[in-house]
Amino acid sequence: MSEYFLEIRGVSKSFQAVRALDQVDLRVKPGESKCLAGENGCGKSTLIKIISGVYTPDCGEIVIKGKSYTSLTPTQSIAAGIQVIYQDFSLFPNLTVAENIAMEYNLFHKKRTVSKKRDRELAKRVVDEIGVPLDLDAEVKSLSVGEKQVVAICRALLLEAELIIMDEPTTALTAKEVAALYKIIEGLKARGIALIFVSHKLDEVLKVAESLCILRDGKNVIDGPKEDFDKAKISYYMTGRDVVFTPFQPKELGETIFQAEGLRLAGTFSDISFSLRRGEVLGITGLLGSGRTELAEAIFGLRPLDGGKLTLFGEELHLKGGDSAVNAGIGYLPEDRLTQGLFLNVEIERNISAGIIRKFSQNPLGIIDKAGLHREVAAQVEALQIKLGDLQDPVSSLSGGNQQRVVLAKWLAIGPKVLLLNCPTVGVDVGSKQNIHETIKTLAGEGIGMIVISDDLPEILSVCSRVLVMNKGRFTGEYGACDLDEETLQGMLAKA
Amino acid sequence: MRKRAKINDMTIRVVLFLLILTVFAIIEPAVLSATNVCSMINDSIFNGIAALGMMTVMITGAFDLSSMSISMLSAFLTLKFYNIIGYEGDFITMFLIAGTFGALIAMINGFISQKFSLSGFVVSIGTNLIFGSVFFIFLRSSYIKTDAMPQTLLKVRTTAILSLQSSGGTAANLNIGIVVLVLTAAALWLFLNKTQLGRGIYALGGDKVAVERVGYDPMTITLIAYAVFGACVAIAGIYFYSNAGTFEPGMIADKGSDVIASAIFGGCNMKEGKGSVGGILAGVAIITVIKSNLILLGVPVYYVTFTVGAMILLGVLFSTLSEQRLQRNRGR
Amino acid sequence: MKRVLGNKQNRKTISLLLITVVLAVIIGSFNPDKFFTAQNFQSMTRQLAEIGIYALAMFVIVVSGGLNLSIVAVANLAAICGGSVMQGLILGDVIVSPLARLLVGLLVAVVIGVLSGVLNGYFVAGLGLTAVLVTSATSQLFQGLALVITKGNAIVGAPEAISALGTHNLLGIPYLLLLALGCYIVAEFVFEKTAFGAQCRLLGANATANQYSGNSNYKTLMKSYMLSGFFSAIGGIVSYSRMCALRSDYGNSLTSTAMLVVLMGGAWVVAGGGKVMNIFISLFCIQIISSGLTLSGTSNFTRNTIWGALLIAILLAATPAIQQRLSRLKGLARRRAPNKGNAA
Repeated sequence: MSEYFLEIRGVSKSFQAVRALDQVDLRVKPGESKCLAGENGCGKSTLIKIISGVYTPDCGEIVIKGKSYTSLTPTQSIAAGIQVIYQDFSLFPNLTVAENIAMEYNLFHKKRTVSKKRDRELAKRVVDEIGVPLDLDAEVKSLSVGEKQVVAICRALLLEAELIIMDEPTTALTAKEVAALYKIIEGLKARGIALIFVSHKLDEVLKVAESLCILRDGKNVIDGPKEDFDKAKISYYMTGRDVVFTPFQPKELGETIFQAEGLRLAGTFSDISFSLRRGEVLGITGLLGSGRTELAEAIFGLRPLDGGKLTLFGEELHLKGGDSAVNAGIGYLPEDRLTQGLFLNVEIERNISAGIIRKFSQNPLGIIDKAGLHREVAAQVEALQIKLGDLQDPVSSLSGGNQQRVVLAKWLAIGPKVLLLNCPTVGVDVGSKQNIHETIKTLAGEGIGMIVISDDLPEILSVCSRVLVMNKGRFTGEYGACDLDEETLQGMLAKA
Repeated sequence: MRKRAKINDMTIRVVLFLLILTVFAIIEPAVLSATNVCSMINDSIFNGIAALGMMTVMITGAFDLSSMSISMLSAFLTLKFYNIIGYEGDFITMFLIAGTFGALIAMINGFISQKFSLSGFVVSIGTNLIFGSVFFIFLRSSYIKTDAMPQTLLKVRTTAILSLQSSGGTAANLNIGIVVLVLTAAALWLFLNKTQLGRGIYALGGDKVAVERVGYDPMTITLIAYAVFGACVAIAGIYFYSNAGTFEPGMIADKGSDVIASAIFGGCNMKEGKGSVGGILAGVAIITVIKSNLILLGVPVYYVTFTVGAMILLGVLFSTLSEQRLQRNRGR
Repeated sequence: MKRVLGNKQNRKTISLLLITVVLAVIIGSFNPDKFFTAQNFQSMTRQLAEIGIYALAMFVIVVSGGLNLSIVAVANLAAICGGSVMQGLILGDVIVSPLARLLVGLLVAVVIGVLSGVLNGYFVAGLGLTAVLVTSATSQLFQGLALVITKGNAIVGAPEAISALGTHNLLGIPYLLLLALGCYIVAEFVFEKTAFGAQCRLLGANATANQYSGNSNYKTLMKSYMLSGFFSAIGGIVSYSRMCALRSDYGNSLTSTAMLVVLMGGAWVVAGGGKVMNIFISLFCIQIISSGLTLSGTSNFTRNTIWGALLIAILLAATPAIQQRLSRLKGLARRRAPNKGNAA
């Protein structure tokens, strides 16, 4: 029997013309924790789906505990002790914790009847093993994200998992929850359970992973113990080029554009005050759940504030809904491009013009000046160098970077005075990322007040001239970008 | 905290029911007479069985408009089936056969919507038209007169499990149908709470992707949910027509909105995969107590539709607001 | 020409037109001496006007991603209120002159339609409830209200102007067809030229993204429900003019016909899409089938079954699974006839 629990040898998989995986190898020992890293679209999720039996590989071999398979079915995969915890946890919000934990076990063991008592006993056993207090009778929808993850882990353990694959395990967790997760993971490793983390956030995962496997464009790039890597190296392997981020130093600071005083939203954030001066890029960073997104949405008028004052060029704003924010000259590039930022099946032109329909229809009947609208759209496409075939193609035909530029174009078209960018480069390739960063700096130079909200620390450090750290709904620190490095900022974030 | 909220919702329903009943009884004491109580219970039978079926589909997150067509069609097929084989019928096979027809017919809706990932509601608009008419195209008459009905089935009308002779000489009869309602409710409760498939119906309403990941077959669950739905409305339908003594397609059509009203008042929530047998029975009780007594209270017949419409709106509003209240509590 | 054909939307319009013409020829050839007559044309288009306006009322909501089941109930309620004023049953003592009664009656009908839209809009847009549930409940509510007003009876009779609208022609073209045409032109203008129309379509395509683009979903939805109520009220007056009677339960089956027309026009399938023009053509298509069925003396059962089957068929034809199969078939046909393939 081999020393590895799972060995993948030369697996390839193509979708129509696209080769998603090309002769990929991966090995995990029992009790080992491995990080599978790579940029978006590098083939990570395809590989996971092959291991969990969702996809059938075109060629190659999967060896589990010395037994070789050419492909797996989902049932075989579970029977072999492989459990995947997806980013959304795949839980049922309307069922109790106990039932969620026991459901897959019951199904796998072909139980036809259900007993609440049995479910509770099964669930209690694994929950006690992990040592995290959970209310077994609570409905899952009332749990926090961290608790949901624990439920998903318990479910995997109940099925006697020997390999747990976790997809982006720390993205949605607060610092405290991440610490709790690390503790659980140590316990799992001690029991001889192998772990694979799929991630592009290396700082957090590097803490627990013993070895790294990096994929790029569907190919193995490198595989080795953690000690062989440093951050620059990993970034190089993931992207295939050296990426240098230089901190942003505004040439000169002008007058105050935008000011927030004592903003408050019950249960989310309070006592938020800051001001934004002409020429600078203000960064706001915090973990998920720190209230950073809610703050941005409140400034954009989507969440009615419970208190505080917003002023733009000395005039007080009273925002009711995004339309009033746009009228005042505030734009907001949302976090989730695919559902919030874009109308995916709609033409590029209509996507870019979504925010300026009102501006180009200022007459009693609301008739749109189509020619004017088209000129504006074309000008923005030109200015942002969006690569596209035809303005009438659906926006879903574009690459991630170009899609994000379409959203940016939508906001630049309104002629914003202040532009809030929430995670502006999620799911964007490195080239476009640098390009978007340059654009942000240029726009700041042109006098638009730029606020970048992000948890991507290198991004914050390279585009912002001033950084505000947000923790549990409050600002806990303000720094000039030059006085910061990633380690200190990381420390600031995690300080709960 | 979640648990407390659940008790609250159910308590509110029961209190509401008692409140309405009390107010009505104060206005018109005859509301609580044996005759009227029995007639209220008898009125709730059709609505109750059908609403239980409706709930099963709503838990999975779908909504079906074709319930009354399915109900009518399966009753018709059952009656025709007895006519063809020349059998006078009996209660047990009557419910079994109608239930089977109903299950098969409703599964068509489930299959189409699941297979092509269409909204079950939109599919049911089309199938509603088809089920309601396709079998009558080639028939000379869509009616079945009393003397052409299977005669044993007509005994449903007169079979009572409890018969009281009040002083005024009017009889108060508790119809056998209440047994069917109780049995259906009990069977459905067992199925939804005690079997793995039953839990799968809730799971499907909770998360459509996750249901496949934990090892259920979504198609199987959808088909079963629709089969339960079809069987329930068909049982309700055959009971209704046997009780009426004649068959006419349109008789049943306007009962659909009561069923929806009961399901919504019973706490069914399509968005969250919620619904319970107890809740539905409470919902049915509320709707029945209002509808059955309006006439007795001297309200003209033509106010009934308006009342039911207002009730559904209130029900939707009530469930949404209590959900929002719950979320606000959680936020704190 | 190539450009016109190349556009996908135009291709849809052209194929719809073709289907309509082919249908007319086939159905007409069964009964040529009855079908191709001015009288049949007039009775067909009168019926078409009624369904067409209901279809518009439905279209307005479908574009923004919802469904309105209360159209016919609103129409009846509006017509009953308006008609009662016209006949002097309500406010008869205050408004005496027939012309004033007519005008006030029309106004009342339209106001009722718009107000019902406000109620629907408040529940759907303001409270965020499911459109189907809300409109099926308000449908009951409005029908119930109509029942209360009529006390369950029909109100027979109509002012001359109204009955003339339902029976007279202008140069052989029924007034009703002209009215419907007017409504479609208004709708075409609203949905192709104005900011409101553009926002409706964006809202239908992705409500969340529309909100995050700084457009108010609440305002747009509210307006679209009001517009739907407005068209419903006009539909109610059209029904009134055809029947010269007011009933609370008139034309309940028209909701599904309206949905069929909208579905066939493609508004349902393309979220936030669908051209008013296509709805108008599919209206003719449905009406030709309907008239063909009437002429051949079939029962309501046959008609309902055909409507249901058509609805399901169109729904299925738009699903990706069937679309793929269809395009594969097309590919096969093209390979067999290479000349034709090159031309396209």
